[in-house]
Amino acid sequence: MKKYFQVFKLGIHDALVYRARMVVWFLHSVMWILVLPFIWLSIYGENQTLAGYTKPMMLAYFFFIPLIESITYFHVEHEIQEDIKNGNIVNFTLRPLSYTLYQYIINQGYKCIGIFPPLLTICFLFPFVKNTLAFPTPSVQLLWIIPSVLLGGAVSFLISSLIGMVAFWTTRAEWATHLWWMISTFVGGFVGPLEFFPHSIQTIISYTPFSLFIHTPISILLEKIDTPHLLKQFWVGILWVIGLLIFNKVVYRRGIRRSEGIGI
Amino acid sequence: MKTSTKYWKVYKRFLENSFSYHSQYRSDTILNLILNLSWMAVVFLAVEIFFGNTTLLAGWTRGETYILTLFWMISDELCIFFFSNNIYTLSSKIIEGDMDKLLTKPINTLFFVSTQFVGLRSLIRIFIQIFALVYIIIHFQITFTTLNLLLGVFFLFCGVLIQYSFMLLMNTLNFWFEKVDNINNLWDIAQGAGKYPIDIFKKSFRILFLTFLPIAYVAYFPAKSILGKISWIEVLIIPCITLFLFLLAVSFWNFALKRYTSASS
Repeated sequence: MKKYFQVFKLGIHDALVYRARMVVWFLHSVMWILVLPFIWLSIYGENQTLAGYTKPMMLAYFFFIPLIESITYFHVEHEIQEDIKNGNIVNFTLRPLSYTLYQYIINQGYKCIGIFPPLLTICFLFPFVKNTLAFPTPSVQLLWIIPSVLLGGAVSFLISSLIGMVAFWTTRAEWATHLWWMISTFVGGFVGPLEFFPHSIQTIISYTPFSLFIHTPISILLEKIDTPHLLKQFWVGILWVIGLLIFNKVVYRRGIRRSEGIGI
Repeated sequence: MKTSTKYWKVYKRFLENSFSYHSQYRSDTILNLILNLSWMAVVFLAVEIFFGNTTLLAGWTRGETYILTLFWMISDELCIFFFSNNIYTLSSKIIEGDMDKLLTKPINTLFFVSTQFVGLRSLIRIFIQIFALVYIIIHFQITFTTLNLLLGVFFLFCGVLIQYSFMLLMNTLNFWFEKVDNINNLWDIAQGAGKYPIDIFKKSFRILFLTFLPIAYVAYFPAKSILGKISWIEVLIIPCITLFLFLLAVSFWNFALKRYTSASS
């Protein structure tokens, strides 16, 4: 445990060293909330409610995206791809720690610091927007958000890590990164609440864990999801985590056997 | 040798190098093409989702919004073709000290770092997008004059030059701040707003997108031109802004370059 705690601290140090980089990532997610609400408000026109969302709810949906994103989204694929390309990953076979767990914990350390910019922004903006946005009323139901973001984060990390490991087989794996980005942002709920999607697409998404990235946690905050639906989402998420964990182990083992450690 | 001939010869060599590079990764090229087509489908699906709930988006019809979206895609691909890959790697060149080597070359450093790699793959995608544009024009029965078309194409290239200038301005910051390579992701997201009519935004945002964050020039004005919605004042102002931003970016680059201290020996 002690060694992983050191890795966690390393993640915190890393985040503090590259502060400018972290702020840019934050601005990156803020950009979304600056653009998309305007599109949706334009669509609302004179209507007060669309697909069960009032205007204040829709604005709140986008307001919380940077915070939820800072917890659930992992971008480890590039780091893993680099470790594979420059042979650094072979060094991990000699160390008494799991490479996947190392990546997860070091990124959690980074996230501990990375959560502050969106959190502080929300606290700063709260007095100005409290009457415009639909804020959640404190209730026990809100506690569901904890397992929701943990599951979303685990799925996001495992998929991101798998995409990184594509580099074991191909020297150029950017296409996989782009594919992951495209799917996760679109069906994760970045464009807007999934209730606005065509019904057939909604059905497909309900069997995937992607809604746990953004849509489900924010639906809990906005009290837009009932317990049976939430439990179904959790079960789907848990099954995906188990499946992805097994798949990750298999891919890592097979990949590391192929790795020649060029450049060590 | 005349300067222009010399630079053309260098650029031709860059083209050849890029072609041989892409030839090595044929399967990757095909995968990228499939991915790009999927991405196009996703963008169109988003438009469909928006128009599933309304008939007009800030006064723009579905067909007009598709035109705008396709102009935005073509503009993005032109950037990838000419310079995006090069600007994206500028950060690592500065941090890892690769600039030392480039500064010793008997050629303008900015020209070298901006054009070294040509994104040839974009050409295929541009053809597909032009094909989609023609289909949308026919399907939605959109009419335009030759002058509007020429203005649209001209402003499209103005938009590309504005994007280059803005990206250069941001990436030049790497001379002072380490590891802000993700600043390009920020621009990617910001210019993503360019695929929607800027009329949807509040006045303050519209001013921002016309000045400090020049997103409006990426596709909005080219699309407006082809649809005959552009005013003569805009026709006169856009080339001036393009020139101003380009000169500003080059001056900032030259200023930063003088303060460059090598990162390695």
